[in-house]
Amino acid sequence: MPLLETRQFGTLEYAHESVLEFPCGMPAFEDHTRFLLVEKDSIAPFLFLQSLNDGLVSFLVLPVKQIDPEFQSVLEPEELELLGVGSEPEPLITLAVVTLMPGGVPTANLVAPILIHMGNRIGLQSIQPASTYSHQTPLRREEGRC
Amino acid sequence: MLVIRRRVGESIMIGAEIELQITDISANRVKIGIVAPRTVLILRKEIQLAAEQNLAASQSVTIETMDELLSQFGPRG
Repeated sequence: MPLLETRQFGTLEYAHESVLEFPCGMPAFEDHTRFLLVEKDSIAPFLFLQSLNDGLVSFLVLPVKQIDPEFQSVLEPEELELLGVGSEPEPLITLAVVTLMPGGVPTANLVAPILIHMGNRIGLQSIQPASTYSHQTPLRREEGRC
Repeated sequence: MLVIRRRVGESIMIGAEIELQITDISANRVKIGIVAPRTVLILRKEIQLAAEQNLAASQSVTIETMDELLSQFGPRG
């Protein structure tokens, strides 16, 4: 199995089947098109989205339902097409990128959620239109725990 | 902020080289055509915000901030 040197996890071994394709990368990280979603008991409920293009690049993420159970993303037709979403109920997961602040409250970006189609293993970061959410939504203690 | 009313097909010049043309209007969207020199960076503002936030987020995770986070938020139990 391929190995990757990462900043967060040292040497990470992964299976080809677990690779997620981000055809457009992410804003500021357009060249990063292959990621792994790393799940560890020691950091639950948080996860890491680890770039396979550069082991030094990773994002701490949290399922949006843990932050706001009512959260609904609005996707453009091109985004639905990229993800391969059809009419069937789809195995889509929605994650928010978390920013940490030394001595401060961690925040989650709900304006730009990451959507991953776990069937097709395709992901994208979707900028929400005229969002009512904040790109720096504070995480509260209980929310990280549910 | 300068506010100017324009109709479809009308333009605005910014300096001598940048032209913004209103090409289409619908209920809640306008389509804008932009003519500008190649050296001028044109970005949807929300993409720029997302880019800045992604950079900040990816650099914010260190051993210290992770320890601090996990002492407050998890893991469960």
